[in-house]
Amino acid sequence: MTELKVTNVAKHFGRKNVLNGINVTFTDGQIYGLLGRNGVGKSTLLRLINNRLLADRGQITLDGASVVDNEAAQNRIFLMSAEMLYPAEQKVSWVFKITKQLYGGFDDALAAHLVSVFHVDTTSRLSRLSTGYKTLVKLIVALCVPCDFVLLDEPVLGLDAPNRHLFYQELMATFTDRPRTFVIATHLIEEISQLVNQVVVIERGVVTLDQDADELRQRGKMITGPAATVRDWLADVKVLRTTALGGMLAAYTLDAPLEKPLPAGVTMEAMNLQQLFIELTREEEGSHES
Amino acid sequence: MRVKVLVKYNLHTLLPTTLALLLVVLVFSWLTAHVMHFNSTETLTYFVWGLVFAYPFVLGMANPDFAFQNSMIRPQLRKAALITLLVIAACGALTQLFIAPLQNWLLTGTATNPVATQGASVFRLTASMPLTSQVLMNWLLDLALGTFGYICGLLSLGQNKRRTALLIFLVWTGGAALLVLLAILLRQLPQFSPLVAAIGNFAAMNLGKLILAALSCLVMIAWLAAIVRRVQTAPVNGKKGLA
Repeated sequence: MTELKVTNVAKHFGRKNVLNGINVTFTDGQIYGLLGRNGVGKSTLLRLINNRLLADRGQITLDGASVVDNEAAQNRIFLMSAEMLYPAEQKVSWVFKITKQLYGGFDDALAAHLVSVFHVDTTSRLSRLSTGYKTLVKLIVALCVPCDFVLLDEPVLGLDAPNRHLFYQELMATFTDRPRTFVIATHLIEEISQLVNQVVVIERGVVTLDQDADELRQRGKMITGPAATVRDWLADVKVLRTTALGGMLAAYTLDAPLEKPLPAGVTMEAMNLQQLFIELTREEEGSHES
Repeated sequence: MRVKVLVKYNLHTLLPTTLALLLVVLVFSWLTAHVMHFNSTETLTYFVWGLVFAYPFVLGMANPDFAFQNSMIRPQLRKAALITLLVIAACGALTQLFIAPLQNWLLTGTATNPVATQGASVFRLTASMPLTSQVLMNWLLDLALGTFGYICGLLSLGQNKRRTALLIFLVWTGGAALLVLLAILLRQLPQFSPLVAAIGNFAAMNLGKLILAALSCLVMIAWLAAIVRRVQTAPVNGKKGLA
């Protein structure tokens, strides 16, 4: 099994420690959602993997070999940045051409299909494209490079809802045709929730959650009911947060005691990925009761 | 293959910039000669080459994200930068033969070969040097200039030091411009002996470059120290220490 392994990686910028010992393993044929609040180091982690930055400590390996200045390893990794790094004066067709030259391969047929689906004019200069179309060009490149690990940093930035929907469809189609690993760092969690099969959450520079997406969805529960009853039912369970209104209490947990019968007047609802993310990454503020 | 693509890309990026700079310098040299009455044709020839040499590396190699996006790795980038530098240096040496006559033609209506005039006007202190040595010295100084830009680029490789590289570049170009201006002004003062005038002349042509060469050495030392420190601490294939 192909593995991209990040072990105890730390990175600081000036006095700010962005990553404080990240441990995560990306395996082949998976779509990962890399989640975290603003500034927690998602982009930094992706840039470290792609060798654009060097880690202060720790190591990143692809099938056991360090990815640092390792041409063979980097040939198998592609990072689509949130920024447009291609020269603005160049045409879209040039971007495809140079990518082919640099990677030694490019799925021309898929590129032609995507150009047609998204109505991208390949004769346009990048500087003339809108933000959304610039993103589309980068996405086409990312889907067409012959890499085993494709890292997408804010992949749908500036895309309208129909184009985002189309992109998710095309991503799934190309993933089915040629399974490879996608790591998607985004804040539009609900939109990717049906795509990802593994969720990685970064908080305060470390990975706080790395779990199968379906399992996570099954675990995330919101329990509501009379405060005393809910507290009693969740007595020995770790609760992420509670909110109280009058005598009622809502508790969010990943560890609901499903084997115990639900008391009368208490309801249990599944949390979607976005709600889970909010509860998991909420700053420490204790219970909110009013 | 990747190195070749990047060299081509760098040169491609450089071309319009170079042409624009040359145009600016031609206009400037015409203005300084006709309005300010400075005999500064050659000075400007050298100064523009300072800009031409350093500029692409600051803008091109100091912005390696494009290359990194395409999986270039640092050794490849360094190699690409070096090859680009050598190509530009060679082109620069050849182009010098054409720029100065063009400037002379613009100023005087007479196209003069700069190599032929250098012995008489530019290198007054080294007038006894053989012509080939003068040309070689010129070329080496240009190479030092380019090396500076190359180092600026390397300094920024993947380390988000673009601002630092740009600052170094601006300080140097600003400093060099001031030095050249000072030397030109000194040369205009009649009370100075012919020797001082000659030194001023020489300085006007080369001081910027000489200082640049010294600066390059300093930056190179700092850069090497930084690299050594990084190599000592960066994990290579899972092991710490010098690779």
